[in-house]
Amino acid sequence: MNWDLLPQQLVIGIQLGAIYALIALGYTMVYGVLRLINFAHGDVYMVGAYLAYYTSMQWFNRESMNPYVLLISMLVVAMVGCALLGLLIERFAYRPLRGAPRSSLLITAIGVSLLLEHGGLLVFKTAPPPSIHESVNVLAKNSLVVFGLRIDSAQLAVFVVTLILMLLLWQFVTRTKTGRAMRAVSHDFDTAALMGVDVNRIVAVTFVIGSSLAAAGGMMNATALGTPLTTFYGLIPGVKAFVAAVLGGIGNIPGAVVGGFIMGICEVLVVWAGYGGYRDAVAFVILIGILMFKPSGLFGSAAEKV
Amino acid sequence: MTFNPGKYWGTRLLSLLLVAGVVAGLQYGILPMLDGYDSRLIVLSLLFASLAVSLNMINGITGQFSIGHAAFYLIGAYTTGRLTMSLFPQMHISPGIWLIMMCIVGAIAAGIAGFIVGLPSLRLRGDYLAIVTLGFGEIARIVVQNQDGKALSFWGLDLGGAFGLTVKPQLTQVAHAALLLIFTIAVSRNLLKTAQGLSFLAVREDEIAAEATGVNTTVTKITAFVIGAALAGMTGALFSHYEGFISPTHFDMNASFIIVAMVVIGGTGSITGSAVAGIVLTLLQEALRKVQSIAAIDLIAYILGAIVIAVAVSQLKPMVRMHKSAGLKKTLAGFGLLGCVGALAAVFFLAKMDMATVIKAGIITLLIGLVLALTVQRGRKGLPAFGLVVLAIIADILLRPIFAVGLHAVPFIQKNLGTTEYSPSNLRMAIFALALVVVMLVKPQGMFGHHEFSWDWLKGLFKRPHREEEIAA
Repeated sequence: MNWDLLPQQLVIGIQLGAIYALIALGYTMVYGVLRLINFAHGDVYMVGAYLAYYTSMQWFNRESMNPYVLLISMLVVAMVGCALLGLLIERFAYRPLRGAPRSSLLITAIGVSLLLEHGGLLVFKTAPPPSIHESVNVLAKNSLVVFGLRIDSAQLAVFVVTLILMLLLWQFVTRTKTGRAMRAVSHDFDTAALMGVDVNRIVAVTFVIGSSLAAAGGMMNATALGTPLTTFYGLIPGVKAFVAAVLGGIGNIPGAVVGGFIMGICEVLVVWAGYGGYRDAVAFVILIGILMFKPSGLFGSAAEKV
Repeated sequence: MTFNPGKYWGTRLLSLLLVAGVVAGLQYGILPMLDGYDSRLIVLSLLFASLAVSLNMINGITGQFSIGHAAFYLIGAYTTGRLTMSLFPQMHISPGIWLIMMCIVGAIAAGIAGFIVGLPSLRLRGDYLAIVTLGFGEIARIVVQNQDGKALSFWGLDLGGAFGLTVKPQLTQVAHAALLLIFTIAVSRNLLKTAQGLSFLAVREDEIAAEATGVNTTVTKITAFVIGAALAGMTGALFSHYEGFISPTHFDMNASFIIVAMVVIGGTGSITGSAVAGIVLTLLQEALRKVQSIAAIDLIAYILGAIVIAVAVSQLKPMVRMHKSAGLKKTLAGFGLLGCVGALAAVFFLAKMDMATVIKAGIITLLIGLVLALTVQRGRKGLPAFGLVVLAIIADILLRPIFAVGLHAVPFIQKNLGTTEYSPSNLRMAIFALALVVVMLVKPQGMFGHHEFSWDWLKGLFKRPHREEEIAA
């Protein structure tokens, strides 16, 4: 353990945590309205990363474009594409099962997840695993130093964009009429329907928002880190984000954000301590611990779940 | 009914003899005619059927949704594999007895794990339990992946890490796998016949009501986990001694999901369904390896056609039902008969194709079974529905060129997909997933529902209708 490296590692942890938090928001919102663990959510994140890749490498001409416009259009394409994908998934896989036993919904969610991962092998380029070209990430070139910490401006951008998206979401949920309807549905599905809330529309909106947030996470992670993409790119981050959502109390939006940052930092700490081989196992250990001892999570209400 | 000891023990003796006969026939009669690939397929399908039946014990019969079954399979495989590598050469024990010992060891190791995983089931239900079992499965895999005898190993344990563990000698024969499947089925089935077994069903149907009527739900749930896990551990023991090489990738999330898919598609709660789905889906996976690749645009055209037809049928159905058209039913039944003839023709061509004998035999059995079930069934009720399917397939094939031309005309698609070919070997899991989603949407109880195979059911299927029934109809 090298204590000097710790602060620098924490910066990475916060960047990772921001991504997990973005994905966890989708999990927690969908769980809030439908009581469904949307296993396919991690794969929506993967699709978002791929859309960003295709936008930068094939669909748009990256040499002749302003790099900042390119980055923003990648973000927009990924978010819009995944919003559509989320809408499709909700409409054709989950809506017909409204009212079915929850285990059927869960199995369907697993099926959709597998379908995106393995069906994606056909649609997306996987061999060799493509990655977004370094030159796209113009922000990586300059970094700023604060108290001896080197902070990549790409890391800063990830953090800032995440923060902006979260604030927008929070404004939407607390200030708009649709947001209020969403909270009502999440509070009590049947009563909200009786009170004249168009439940199907709200569920669709939830999927659109959740999926576009995940896509933003996928685009930013794939661009900032330049990791090779496969169709299983979203599997592990998806699971970790789910743990983050449970950790913060599933159904609770601020909880998901806090959970996401805790997960990101925990993961980095495990690697820093020299147990890099177990970095993916940590998430599950935290999950099992939370579910065994405090199933409502850090900020969740004590009711239900168990 | 009075208890007749003669008949009781007579039936038991007879079924034991039958089992011995079937297994011996498989090992010494059928196997010598097949090549190595065929026998491998048989072993794998039998092992996966055992896994499905053992998971059905937890998922289907007791209703505790577990999606980390590969963990128990892994524990059985690795425990016994390691023991065989370390101890077998020094111990002078006959291979058969050693294998049985290993099965018991694997069962005990996995059973203990099952006990540990079963504990959360006391507090958690539904999706949360599912996630914990999934998490346990992943933890088990990641821990094994790090046991390479180096820094991150616990007590310097060497399980080969990510590179895998070689297990020698390969002791498992086809007969062992068959015996294990029969044993697994017998355990599940006979357990359900006892008073204790009914409490498993009671927990599945309504836990609170079960508790109120005096069922000890704690013991019941944990027992289900331990039995299911122990059976999976035995399967793992046979697998490691058959394959001769095990690595963590054999037991990842996908493996767990495949087993879940088998149970769900076969019919949650049906032992027959799980076993059949286990065998069929394993063979299907292999069969898809051999299918030729298809042009991307053609595939998309087929899918678009299928969507159009599905929408059309769902829109037309209420109209047709209002008229209760008998003529339409007859026409559809005609198409159904046409489909039967087509299936028989397919059997004829399949018999000549170059394919693994086991897969060929499987497909031919399915097709002939389908035709028999449709034509001999009482009143031939299934024929119009089958006719609709046949009609849809014909329409899809006819629609394909139209959509394909349309797709080729779009410059964006032409540029990106114009020359792409899809190979079905990648499609295998996608087809599994699609089957899973479709089964959930169309028939959530699975192929067999809660039903089991019985001779009476088979008799009922082939019985001609009585005279009075015919007049009444």
